[in-house]
Amino acid sequence: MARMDVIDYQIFGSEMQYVEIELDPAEAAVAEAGGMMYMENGIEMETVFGDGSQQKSGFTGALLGAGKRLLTGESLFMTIFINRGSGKKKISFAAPYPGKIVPMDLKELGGQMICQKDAFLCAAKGVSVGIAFQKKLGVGLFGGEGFIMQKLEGDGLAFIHAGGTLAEKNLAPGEMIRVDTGCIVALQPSVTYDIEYIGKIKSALFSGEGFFYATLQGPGKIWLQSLPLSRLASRLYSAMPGIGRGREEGSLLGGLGGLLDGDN
Amino acid sequence: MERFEVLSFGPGIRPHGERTPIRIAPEGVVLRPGEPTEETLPFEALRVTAGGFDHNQIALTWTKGEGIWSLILSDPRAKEIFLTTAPPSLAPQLAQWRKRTSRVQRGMRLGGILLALLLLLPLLLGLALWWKSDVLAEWAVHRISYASEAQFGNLLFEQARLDLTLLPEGETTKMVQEIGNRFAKEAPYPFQWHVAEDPTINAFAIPGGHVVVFTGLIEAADSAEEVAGVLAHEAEHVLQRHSLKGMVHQLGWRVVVALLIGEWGGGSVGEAAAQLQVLKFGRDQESEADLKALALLKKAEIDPKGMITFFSRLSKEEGVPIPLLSTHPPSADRAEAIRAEIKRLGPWKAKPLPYDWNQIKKKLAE
Repeated sequence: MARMDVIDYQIFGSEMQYVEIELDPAEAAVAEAGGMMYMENGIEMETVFGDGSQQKSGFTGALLGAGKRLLTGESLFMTIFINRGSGKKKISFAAPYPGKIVPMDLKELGGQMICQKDAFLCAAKGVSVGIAFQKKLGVGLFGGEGFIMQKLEGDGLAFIHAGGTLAEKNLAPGEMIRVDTGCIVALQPSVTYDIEYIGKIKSALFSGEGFFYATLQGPGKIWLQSLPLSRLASRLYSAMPGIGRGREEGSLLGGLGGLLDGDN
Repeated sequence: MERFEVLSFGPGIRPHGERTPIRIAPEGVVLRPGEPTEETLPFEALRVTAGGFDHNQIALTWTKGEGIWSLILSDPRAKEIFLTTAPPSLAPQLAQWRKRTSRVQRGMRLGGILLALLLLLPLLLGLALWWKSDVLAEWAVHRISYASEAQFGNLLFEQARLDLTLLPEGETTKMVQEIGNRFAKEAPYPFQWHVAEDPTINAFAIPGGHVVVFTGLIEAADSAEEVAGVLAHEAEHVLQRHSLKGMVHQLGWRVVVALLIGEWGGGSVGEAAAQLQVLKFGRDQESEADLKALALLKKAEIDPKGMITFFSRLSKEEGVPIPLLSTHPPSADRAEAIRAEIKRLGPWKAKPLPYDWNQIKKKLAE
């Protein structure tokens, strides 16, 4: 595991947040290309191919990492921000849509987190952003998150972002919670993620909840979002003059339509 | 004895799990080995389930007091040791665990294959077509009736005619029609023979029976028998439905290309007609037309030597490539094959064609 940088941070705003990170000299943070809002003089930006966690892996390694990033819907490049000045410098990253930014201490969480793709905002240098492939066909198709999620690995601090208000829940061993598809933001790898048929054909058709729930079974910690971006987008879309109703979220066709994409 | 660090969950400890060192011993799972809080969980007290994001972790659950505790084995080495050291009393649960994980794995493999198939389908289709294209084209062509082929040919000819200056009825056209009709006696098509004014040495056939000979070809010929050889050859292209096969072939490719690229290049009749003149027959088709043409010549009692002399003379002329030959097999092989076929068919008595060749040439030169 690469060396982690310890970073201090502060989150500003309520519904449309940004996180300000304080970098000590020679400390660095990685972020999704395009997420930076402002940085103080002395911080230098460096764009790397792949996810920047392994600096010595060579060309093929970088290419492989970059390919994985394409799968998760990220851009091919990541940006590293290094404080080359003397003294502490601040840099901030903004969330791309209304929602909350959640800090995650990966060290405390057991070194690994799985989150919705596109959820990653920024992290201390050394955190690697990989893919977690959904191994259950049904979950991939109907679970609301698609086949591909992001896997954050390392011992540092990572920031993820999701829509609406975020609910943080701790599941005891064996405790199970049913979640609307598309509302899962992040989970510990110890949590079992599955789907459950809604039960009655009448509810499946008319309840508006789709055909399946996502189920999460503990032990472990999970984060849920109150407003998946796709839901917001579909409301905005259907409210747009001249376009009419957009695609219904969580429907059978929607799941099939975005075969690889899932809900979000 | 190997030690692992795993996440354990339970009441009173951090809800997202606490990193706990464990050791898997013959008597059970030892928590925090060597520490003052060391604790041994006998195998009998453990419940084994499959779980985790990948559905392949071993979740061990036990009760202590009122609370339910669990720890998660996700390290492959730890799982292996646990599976091998667990006593037979746990066997049913382990079998259950294996069943669940392997089911997920099987499902994933199946899903992967399905997905790959779905994505590769157009490619596979293309490959199949490339491999079996001739057979497929033949099969499709068989399904087209002679009547509709002739209809289609008329349509194509109407289009092609716009680019051609047809020679008005006269001695030359009469000769071409007369010779041609000798080959068309048993044909399922109403053959039509045309002469077009064009200095290139070429002739082409349209599905359904339209054959066009260029004046350049007649001028280059030394006798009516030589023209007859070419006409028989073109007639065979029609009778063997070579251009139709070529078109079906090409159409099939278009479908595949459209599937692969998602685009359908405009496929109008006009475009098809424009392609007709450049439509290249395969070498096999050319040889087939050659050999079958000889049978036609035999039936019509026309001397086949004209065919050999015409092609071999043309191929000797260096310089400008002659369109009629550019797509044809090497002429030496070709003449050889023709001679062999004549031998096979057995020589036949030929009546000389009743045309004054010099007269016809003179007429053309005017």
